[in-house]
Order: sequence, then structure tokens, then C-alpha cells
Amino acid sequence: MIEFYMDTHSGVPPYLQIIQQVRRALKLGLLFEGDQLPTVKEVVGQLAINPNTVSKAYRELEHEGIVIARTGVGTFVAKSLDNSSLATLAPLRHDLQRWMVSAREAGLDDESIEALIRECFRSSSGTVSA
Amino acid sequence: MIWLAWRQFRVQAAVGLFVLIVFAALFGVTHSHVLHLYNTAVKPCGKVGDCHSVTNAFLNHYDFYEHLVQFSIAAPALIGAFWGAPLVAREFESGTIRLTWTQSEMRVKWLAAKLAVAGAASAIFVGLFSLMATWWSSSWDQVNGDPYSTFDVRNIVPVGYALFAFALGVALGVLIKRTLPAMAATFVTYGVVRVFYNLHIRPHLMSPLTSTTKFYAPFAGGAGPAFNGPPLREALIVSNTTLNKAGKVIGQNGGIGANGEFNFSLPNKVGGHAYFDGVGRCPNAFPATARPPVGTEIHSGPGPATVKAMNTCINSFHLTSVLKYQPLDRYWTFQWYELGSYLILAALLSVFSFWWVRRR
Amino acid sequence: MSAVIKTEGLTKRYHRNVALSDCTLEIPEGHVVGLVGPNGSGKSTLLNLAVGLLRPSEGSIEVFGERPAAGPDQLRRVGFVAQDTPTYSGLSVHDHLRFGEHTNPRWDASLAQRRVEQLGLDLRRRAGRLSGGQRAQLALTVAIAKRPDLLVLDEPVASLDPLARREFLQILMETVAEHSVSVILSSHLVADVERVCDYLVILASSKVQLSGEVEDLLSTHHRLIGPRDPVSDLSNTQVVIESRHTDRQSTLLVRSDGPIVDPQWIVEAATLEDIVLAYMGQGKRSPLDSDVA
Repeated sequence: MIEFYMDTHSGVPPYLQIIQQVRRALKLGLLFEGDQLPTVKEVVGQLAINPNTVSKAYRELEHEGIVIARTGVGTFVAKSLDNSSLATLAPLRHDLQRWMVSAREAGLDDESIEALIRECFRSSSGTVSA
Repeated sequence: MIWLAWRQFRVQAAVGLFVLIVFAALFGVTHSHVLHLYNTAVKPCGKVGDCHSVTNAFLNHYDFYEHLVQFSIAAPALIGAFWGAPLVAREFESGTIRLTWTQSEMRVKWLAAKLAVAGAASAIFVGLFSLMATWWSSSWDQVNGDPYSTFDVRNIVPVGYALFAFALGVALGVLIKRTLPAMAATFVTYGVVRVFYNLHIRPHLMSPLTSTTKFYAPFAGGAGPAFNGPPLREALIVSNTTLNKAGKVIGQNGGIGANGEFNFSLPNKVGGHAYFDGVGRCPNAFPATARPPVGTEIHSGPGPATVKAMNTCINSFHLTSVLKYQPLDRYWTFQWYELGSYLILAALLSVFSFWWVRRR
Repeated sequence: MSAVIKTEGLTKRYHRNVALSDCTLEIPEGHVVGLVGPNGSGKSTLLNLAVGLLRPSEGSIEVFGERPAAGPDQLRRVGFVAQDTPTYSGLSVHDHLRFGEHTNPRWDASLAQRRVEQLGLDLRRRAGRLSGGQRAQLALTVAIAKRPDLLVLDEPVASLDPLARREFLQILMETVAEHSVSVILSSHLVADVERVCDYLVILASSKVQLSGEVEDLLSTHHRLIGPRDPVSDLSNTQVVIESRHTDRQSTLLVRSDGPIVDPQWIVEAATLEDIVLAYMGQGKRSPLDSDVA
């Protein structure tokens, strides 16, 4: 079962962090269709956060169709996200790691690398269909 | 709430029980010996001859144990301070009042349970002790022959004192909210009330009787014949005023002065007159060898001839003593009245505690 | 949604000192309410008034529509853990549960038992021998097993180490998730408040400076950074809560219902800590601890 964590200094609201972590777990293949998410009680018992936060996150995920709540039973993953096939991920990761090595050899520091990636990302989101 | 009250009181109850057992053992062990001594030495003496030396020896022999019985003088004050004062004050001090007052029971129920448990224990403890002490002291009391002198430490009044002291301790604890100051205040207030009651209220619980006798001069040493037997020997003396021939009050407490003194002044030489303040004068019968220095009391000293001469002169002044007293047959009535007074005080103090606790 | 705690002009005085002044609040049920403010701002006083341990000097306070501690029914609905989590040091853990059972008709013995097991507390150990964290958990267990509708906690974690604090909040949140209890707790630590509270009340100088849903507060407060002498003033729907200036730069904390589109300002979201500090500064200035979570 997935275990959530909180990054209190990120500036991202807690409920959004939970949503992001569910989506990321789906993308990475850590969660599959039919898996049960931890109950609200389990999550707050571990993270010590307000239950409404978790409820809100689960509701949002249900609204997006990612999970489905079955009363009296629990909350389950409804479907997998697009483009999450493991097979396509590995080569992409490999390419990216190689590029990282080149970038560092070229003398770029962390901030410059991040800025470069962000810029390309932004300019590409307009051209590639989501 | 009774469960909680008992649970919190357990240790104190155990201490009380331990003290009772120790005293019971002491009394039990010595009682038969006391009785034996009384039966063999004192009782036969009875009407035959001078019993004073026998009775005094008997009284002195058991003086130590009689002091133990005096513990019942202290017991109510100790109960008030150690069982009453901390009852509520400690909960304020430790903060547990914030735990107890936020459960689902009303404060009145909580206080009632505490008062019932510790109050009952106080009454039982002192009641049992008084019972033991009275039983043990029976032969001593026979010999002493002055029940009013041990009024505070016999029979039923100690229970009244205990409940009063307890209720006082609780009320002061509720008011002051700190254990040690409440304990100190309890001791002091209890003492003041008891002394005040003994001096000003007990003597007047019923209208005292009056006895008028001839003033007895103290040159013979000791009290006059009026005090040697009933009804005055066993009575509670309320006042003892001395009147002169004209009926004017010239002295208190059996003397010619305000504090019961018997002052007279002698000239610097042999002969002349002895002057008694506010009374008159007598020829100075003191020879040179037996003159007391000015201002001292007379114990023994003047010879029988001197004493006889001085006494004859004093009698010529025709002074009278007026005694107001409570006779022995009122002893039990007074016990009940006094018990009742202290129970009423205890009840009033408890009502106050309830009211104060609700109000907060 | 009905109000769980309602106060009107609530004032409490001790001799000459005013502990709480003219406090008017309407706290909705079903929330975890954070009560923050510097020392001496009246947090403890407000909570003690809410559970009937104090009586108001002026004004009124109602909990579930009744005067606090008015009767056994009212007392049943409110659970309280006082500051320093008092327990009977001579009584064992087991005795504390019996105490709860004897004094509360709605006592949930199995819940109490489960919690004690979960916490690993030795039933026979006397409360005076427990650690601070364990005592706090015991006090909380007694308050929770009473099955109240409102839990009032007065700085319950103030003297606990970070681990004990975390465990306390975990159990508290579990309880809220399971029994939908309303909670109001006072705290020094903004980080804790940020984690668990969805409603906030800020006290400073014995007065209520701000109250509201955390979501609303976060969406209506912004941090503005701009030049020292701004070209145009903010519109009158925007209230400046706090402003700081250097010779070149001004930093403002602003409350605004609508978006701020003035181009000379860099607009950022205000954090809850910014908001709390700014409103607390409206009264007495006092450092607020930032917890290293």
C-alpha cells in the first residue's frame, strides 16, 4: 500500500501533495487499478494532519476519475494514467541521465540545469498535445 | 464519586487506623494494671484516714499516660489540618481540580462524596479514641473527682470538635486553595474558637447557680473549706468574686485583687500594721524572723500563732465570697449542648464550602 | 452549520488585570480549531471559560447553546485536557480509567482499553511515574473515552519532545477521523497548527485579532513586495495588515478579497506563519516559535 509523506516547507498545500503523490505513484507503477488507498484514519494517524485534508484530496481524485470510493469498504484506484507504461519509461530515463552528465561536464550548475529544463518544458507544452 | 473519594483518602485512613491501633495497644496493656493499683491501694483507703498521699501517688504514677489521653485535645486540630485542609486545597494546588471538574459529574456531588468519606472517618476515629480514653481513665477520674476539668477529652464532645475542625479545614482549603497556608489557618482558627468557647460560652450554657460563703483567708495555704467538698469541688466555677462588708466587689478569682491576688503591705520594722488594699488594716503579727519580703506570696513561713492572729483579723472585715458555678449534675447536659454547638458550626461551614465551590 | 462555541463581548478580569477583553466569536462545529497567540494573550483563559472552570466578568459564552458546566448533560459533551495535562500522580493508569468510568455515563471502556494498549502503557504504573508524553496521552485518553462532542485542549503538547508531540497529534487526528469530534486546541507552534487545524483564532493583547477558516485566510492574504515609494496606493478593498520598509523596498502583508493586479507589486501567497505573526504583531510583539518538524 502507498504511504504518504508531507513536505511542510514546499509551499504546496497538503491536500495537493496527496493528490500529486497518488498520481506520481500511478505513473511510476507503484499503484495499479484496484489497489486500495489507505483510509483517512490511517493517513492522519501516520501524518498527524487534518482529516478534512485527506478527504478533500480523495474527493478531488474521485472527481478526476482516478479513484473510486466504495462506502463501507474504502477508496480504490479506478484506472491507470496515460503514458505510464514501464517499458516506455526506462529508455527515456536513460537518455535523460546521459544528458545530465553532459550538462554537468559542460559546467552547468543545478540552478542553470533546472532553468534550462523548465524553459524547454514550457516551450514544448504548447506544441505537444497533452 | 464515592469510589474516587475513598481511593484518594486511603492512605490517610490507614495512618489514622495505625494511630488508633497503637493507642488501643497502649491502653489495653496498661488498663488492668491501673485497675489493680486502684483496687488494692486506693479503694480500701476510702473513708479511713488521710488518703491524700495515696491518691496523689496514684495520680502521679499514671501522669504519663494521662498525657497520652490529652492527645485527644490535639486530635481534632490534627484532623482538621491533615484531613480537612488538603481535601480540596491539594486538588487546586496540583491542578487535578481541572481534571475532576470537567468530567460529567457536578461539583456538588464531588464535594459531597469527599465530605462524606473523610468526615465519617473523622467522626469514627475520634469517637473510638474518646471511647477508649474514657474507659481507660475511669479509675483515674474517680480519684481526681473533677469531671469538668477533663470535659474536653472525654465522652462525646471530642466528636463535635473533630467534625468542626474537619469542616473548618475544608472551608479554609476551598477559600485559600493552598494546602500549607490552609493547614496553618485551620490550626489557628480552631484554637481561637475552642478557647473562646471554653472561656465565654460553656460557662453560660445554662444560668449558673450561686453560692455565698465567708471569705477564707489564704494564710493557711491553699483553698478554703468551701472548695474541699461538693458541690463546689466538682463544679465548673464560672466566677468567684469577693465582696466587702458593704457588699461592694473588691476582688476576683478568690482574692482581693483583680487577678485573684491577696496583697498586703508590711512596714519596715517589726510591729505596726499590715495594710490590705481596699479592705483595711491589721496589727502586724509577723515577727522579725518570719517576715516575707514585700510583694512575695505566702507559701509556708509564718508560724501557727502568726497565722491565727492574721486570720482572726481578716475575719473581722466580714468579707464574703460569691461563687457562680455549674453543678456536676449538669455535666451531661453540657456535653450534649456543646456537641450540638460544634455540629451546627460544622454544618454551616460545610454549606459555605458547597456554596463557594458552586459559585466559582 | 451550528456554532459549537459562541461568545459575545466576553471579558475576564483578575483583580486589575484584563485577561480577555470583549471577545466575540462564533466557532462552527466539525472543525479542528487552532487558538494561537503570545503568552498572556488570554488563550488559557478562553479555554477555561469554555469548560466552566472560570466565570465571565462580563459578556457571555455558550457551548452547544448552553452555559458551560451548566449541568451533567452539558458536562458530558465536552472533554478537557488542561495545561500541563494534570493527572492523579498517586493513581495508576488503570485507576484513571476507572475514574473515567465512574464519573462519565457515556464512557467507552473498550475504546479506552484499546488506546492504552496501543500506547503501550502499563496499567499498574502510577501516573506520577509516567513520562510527560505518556501522562499527556493518558489525559487525552480519559478525555476521548468520555465520547465528547467537543475536545478542548490547552497547550497539550507544549512541554513534550518532538516525538511525543507527533504521537499525541496522531492519536488526536485519528480520533477526529473516527468520531468526528470538534476540537479546539491552543498552541505556540505554528507548524503544528498548520498541520492539524482548519480553523484559526488569533489572540493578542487579550483581544481576538482574527478568526476564520484556514483556507479562506490563505486565499485572501498576500505578501506584496515592491518599491519603497509606490506609484499608486492599493485600492480600499485591500487592507494592509503589516508593512516593513528598507530604504529601497517595501514588504506588505495585505488582506484582499479579490486578486491584486497592480504591476509594480510582486504578489506571493502568504504562509500561515506570515499571517499569524502579522496579526499577533497588531497587539504585543512577541517571538513565535517555529517548529523544526
